[in-house]
Amino acid sequence: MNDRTLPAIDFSTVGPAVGAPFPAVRLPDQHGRVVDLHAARAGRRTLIVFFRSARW
Amino acid sequence: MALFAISYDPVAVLQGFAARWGITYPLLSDEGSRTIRALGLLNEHAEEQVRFYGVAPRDEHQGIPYSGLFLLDADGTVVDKQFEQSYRHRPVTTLVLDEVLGVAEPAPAASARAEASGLQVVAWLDAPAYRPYQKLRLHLALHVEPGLHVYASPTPEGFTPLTVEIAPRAGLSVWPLVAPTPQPFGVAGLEETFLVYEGMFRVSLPFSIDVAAGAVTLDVRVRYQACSATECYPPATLALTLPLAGEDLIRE
Repeated sequence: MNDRTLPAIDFSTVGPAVGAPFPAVRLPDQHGRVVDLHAARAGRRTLIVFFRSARW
Repeated sequence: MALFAISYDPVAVLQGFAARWGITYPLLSDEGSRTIRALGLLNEHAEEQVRFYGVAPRDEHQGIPYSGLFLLDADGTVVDKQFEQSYRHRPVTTLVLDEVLGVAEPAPAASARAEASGLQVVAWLDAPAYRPYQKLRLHLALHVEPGLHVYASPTPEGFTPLTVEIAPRAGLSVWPLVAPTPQPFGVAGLEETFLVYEGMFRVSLPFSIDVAAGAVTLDVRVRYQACSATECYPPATLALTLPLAGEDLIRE
């Protein structure tokens, strides 16, 4: 740790906005199967978590 | 309810991670960070943040998203998003359930209680243990004696507003106090109105412990001044202590 401060980020303008549709996402899951996020959520409320890494 | 987690890890890493920790919801692999970039979520401050922690930038710091989450309604519209100022911080599960999903919290594992002139306080934590950089909340339920009020900021000259503090310790990060909107209170004979709390209300103080310090004890100080329409108690401080166990980071 040092005495510098973290940069202040305004997240209201970062990524999809509240009130906007979440864009289409197609990515492989942990089994290597490609997941279409909107198809897989099948009309359910959805929580999408972005995390830095499972390794560190 | 559906749940997805997205990182830049290769499928093989996510496969091992899911197996090791029993994760059955989809962990999506955005190797190369194309989706993270397309969504505008690439952490463009990663190098500054890494340097803030006194760490030399490495290749693995490139391509990470900002740390946060989106809540979508049934139609796929974003109805909430919560992001952290640092790639290291993330909320404890209870906080997400409560603040994002509106699911009632389970009963607190342990609580502390204190009272003094005009005020009773019960304090508890989101979880019985912390992991380094995990955001937890200190919760306080306050009960102001009937006929009295405590002041919110800004206070009239010479009065003490309600403040909540966790005693400083190595690695402690604290966010602003989350409190209900105070009520205006007029004093007979004065034109000015003051902002006060009366009756029962709750506040919370998000915090994290950014070191692996093992089990700790949090010393909490609630400073306030209770007054009636005509008289005041002197400013007072309630002291509460809460034990908090320490756990390691979860990673593959």
